[in-house]
Amino acid sequence: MSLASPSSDRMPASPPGVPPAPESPRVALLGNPNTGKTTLFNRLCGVMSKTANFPGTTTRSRIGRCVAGERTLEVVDLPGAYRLSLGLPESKVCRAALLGEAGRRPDLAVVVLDATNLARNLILLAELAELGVPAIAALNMVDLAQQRGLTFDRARLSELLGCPVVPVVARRGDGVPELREAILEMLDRGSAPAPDQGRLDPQSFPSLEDWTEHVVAQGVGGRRAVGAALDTVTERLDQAFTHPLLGTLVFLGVMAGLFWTLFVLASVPMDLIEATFRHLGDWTAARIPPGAVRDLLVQGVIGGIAGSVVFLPQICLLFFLLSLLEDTGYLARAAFVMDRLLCRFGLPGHAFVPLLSSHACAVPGILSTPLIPDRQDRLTTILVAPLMSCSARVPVYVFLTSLLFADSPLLAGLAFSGCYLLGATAALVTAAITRRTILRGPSRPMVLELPSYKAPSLRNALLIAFHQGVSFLRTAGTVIMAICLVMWWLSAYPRTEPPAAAVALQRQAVALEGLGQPERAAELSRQADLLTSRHAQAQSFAGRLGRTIEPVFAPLGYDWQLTVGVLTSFLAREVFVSTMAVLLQAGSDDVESAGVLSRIRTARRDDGRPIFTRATSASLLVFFVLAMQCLSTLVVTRRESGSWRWAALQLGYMTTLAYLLAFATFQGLQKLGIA
Amino acid sequence: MKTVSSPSRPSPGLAPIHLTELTAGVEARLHAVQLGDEDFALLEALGMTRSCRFRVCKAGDPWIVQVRETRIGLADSVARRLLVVPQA
Repeated sequence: MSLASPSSDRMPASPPGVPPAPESPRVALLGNPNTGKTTLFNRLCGVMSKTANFPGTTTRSRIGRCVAGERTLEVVDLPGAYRLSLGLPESKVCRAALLGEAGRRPDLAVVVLDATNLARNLILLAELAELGVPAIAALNMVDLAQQRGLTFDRARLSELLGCPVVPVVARRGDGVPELREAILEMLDRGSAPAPDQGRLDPQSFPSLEDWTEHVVAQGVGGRRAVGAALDTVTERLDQAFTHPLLGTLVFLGVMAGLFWTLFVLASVPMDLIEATFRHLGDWTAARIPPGAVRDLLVQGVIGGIAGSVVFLPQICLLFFLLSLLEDTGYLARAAFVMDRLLCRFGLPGHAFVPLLSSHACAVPGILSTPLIPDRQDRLTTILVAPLMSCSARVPVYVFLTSLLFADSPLLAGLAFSGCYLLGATAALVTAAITRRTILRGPSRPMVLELPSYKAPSLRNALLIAFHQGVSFLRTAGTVIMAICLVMWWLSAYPRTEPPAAAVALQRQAVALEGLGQPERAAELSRQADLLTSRHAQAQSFAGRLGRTIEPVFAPLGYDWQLTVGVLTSFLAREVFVSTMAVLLQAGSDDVESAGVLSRIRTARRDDGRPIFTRATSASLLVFFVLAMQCLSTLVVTRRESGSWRWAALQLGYMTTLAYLLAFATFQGLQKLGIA
Repeated sequence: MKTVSSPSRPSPGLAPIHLTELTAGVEARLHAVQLGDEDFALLEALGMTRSCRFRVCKAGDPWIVQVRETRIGLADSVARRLLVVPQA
């Protein structure tokens, strides 16, 4: 599923909610990474933007609408690139966009320059001139530069560069109105070339670096005009954050904070969303007569939408926090701390954010993989991220470890921790194997610019979180909902009549009601409903599939009921617990209730043998640690990898790994007599 | 793998050494690079060009060097492949 518009050979279409203006001038935003380009884009366009892939790539861009005077401009935020001539994906995408090879050629480019590091940033401007694209230089972070004692002769710089120079502080919005005016003025000038008297031609210098030195020497003043600047605070922070011991401790603390915040804060809106949709379902059910339409609306549509929307808080919060962290400059240092460990397994240091986030949920974890510059590294991380034990697995872990070690909370706790360790180990080993086979090659050695430390932009972080959430709903959300509808249908159809035993219980309940015994009547009615649900589950397409596939899972110790539970949990892992509660007539899916656990523990197969033996429970636990049982994750894998092939590979290898290890666990424990 | 040498010869008596032999605070010039094309191009784009002068801010994995106003972090595996000439 491409994020691009249907005419995918062109740049994606205008954002929704704004009537397309066919003649809107197109302005490209270009710049080195960490120059504040995205911040400037947010200032120019606000929420009026959308995210899309460049055609044929997984490199993302944002396209927005900027109102300048009486005109509306289309602004394209190109990926950050150090040079257009590099072979890196970002450089190629920028070049293609500027040359009009990926859609309409921009009418002009705004090159965002970091005023604290002007020399290196100017090279992009020189390369842009070679392409013949009119340019404006937005000199960003002038406030930080001025704090360092630098002064800028704007007119002189403009003369030397042959283009307008507009000082801005994108973080505060300073200079942005002036930038809009400069853009309009340049667009009105049309194709008429700007006078270039006084322009320093880069071609007349031995190298671009010499040219930049001359421009800076003539246009920038102050006590640190040319040469390296000493920054004691930065030095000390870098020493601390990249120290083998202290850096690791700081990293663990920051990640623990991020993880805790994600887990705890996101759970509040997530619970609210679940409750809201539950009430919505109940409200709808109360107003529509029982039947197929009601079931479709309540269980299919509302349940399906809830299944997508429930991810939003975690996704938005994760990107909000990551944006803040990245803005501070810390993430680049943290990447080096993790690189020491991860590179042994063929993963880059950047992979720590997606892998750690996947402990909350693999969906936002995989969505954050664009942080990783190298494609092979990124694909490897995407493939192994779901092996990290996510929060959806927690109810299953609690359930199964309680069954395994009913009399020993300590052993149950150790088993619970062991699940996390197994998942993480499997992820690292799989990554190492992947880099030696299908994605052969070592992880790219880390070479990374360390940006200046600065206060993060709350506004930026909120906008990024908003856009990531909208983007998720628009793409993955629709597919997730469609899959939920299909899975619901498989579990709900064909319709069957209630079994005779349930009908008898309902009659008894009615009779008891008439005799003034409402509590007993309610209990019998509840039992009748459970029997009906179990019968419906067993007779549904999913249930019949369970019976058909049972021989495949028999070697793992599962009967048809466990097979149905495993199959339905491919929609969402946490469904397993409620499915088992229904199938085993436990009365409730509150597995912390002693009564419920007791009923489940003593549940029997059709042949009378217990369902949950030690070996079976252990086998199930291993299966759930390793299996790919999240269709939402597959959808975002497809989105981030650019192909269903990688999603299919992910499903295939994880299912195979889970099956083989669960088989080994069950058979091994049986042979040891631990059944 | 590409080896790129600086067009200028090292100062007499100052033979090129690996970056990993420097200590924090030392300034040096880049003499040769033994890296793949893409890694070398990225270093250049960050400012570590032939004969550029830089300062070692932090020694040890990761190495942190400063070229003009750019601070660059280098994994040990990269730093070992950079030949430099210390400057007085």
